Amino acid sequence: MEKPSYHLESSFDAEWHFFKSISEQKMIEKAVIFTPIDKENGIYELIFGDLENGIVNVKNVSHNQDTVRVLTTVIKTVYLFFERNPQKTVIFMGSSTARNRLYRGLISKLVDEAIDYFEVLGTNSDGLDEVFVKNKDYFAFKIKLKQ
Amino acid sequence: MKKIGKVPDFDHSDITFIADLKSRQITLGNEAQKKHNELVEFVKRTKKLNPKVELTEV
Repeated sequence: MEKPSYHLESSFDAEWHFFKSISEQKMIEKAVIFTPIDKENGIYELIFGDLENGIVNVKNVSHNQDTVRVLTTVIKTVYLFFERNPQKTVIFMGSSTARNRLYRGLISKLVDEAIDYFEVLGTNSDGLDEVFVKNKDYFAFKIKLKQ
Repeated sequence: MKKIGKVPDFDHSDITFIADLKSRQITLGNEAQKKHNELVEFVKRTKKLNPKVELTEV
């Protein structure tokens, strides 16, 4: 991962991350939170959004002209999470069509850059997993380290 | 050569680990909470559809 990313502030267990998206126009505080949703099976949800007065807002579309840098930074949090939690599975879904596109872009980048390392799945609305196919719509996405 | 079960090498120099980061007061906004609840229910409802493949030594 050699593309520019933003400086991260991270918790030691790599479950919480904060960074600032900065352009000439504005500065937006971002949060990436990995929160357990099925502890028995080690499944964590990735929640990504703007941090506004302590509230994580996943609905905003920032238009801060730095999508690639933001995505690269989020991918770095994914790497870091798996570095600290190699047995876990990360699941996430978009909060809107725009956010789903963002997540699909995130996954596509990850597939291009690190498919040898990660198992990337798309989950349809019936809950069935398949190997992620670019540009295909899914209800949710799952990532885990190849073992 | 890649190492099985490891993440790719990446630059850690722009990461600051903060011991009490999780003591920050943050809450999920309405939409995030709604999606979180939806995903929890979804995972609960569908977890049996994708059973883990158990490898058996022969």
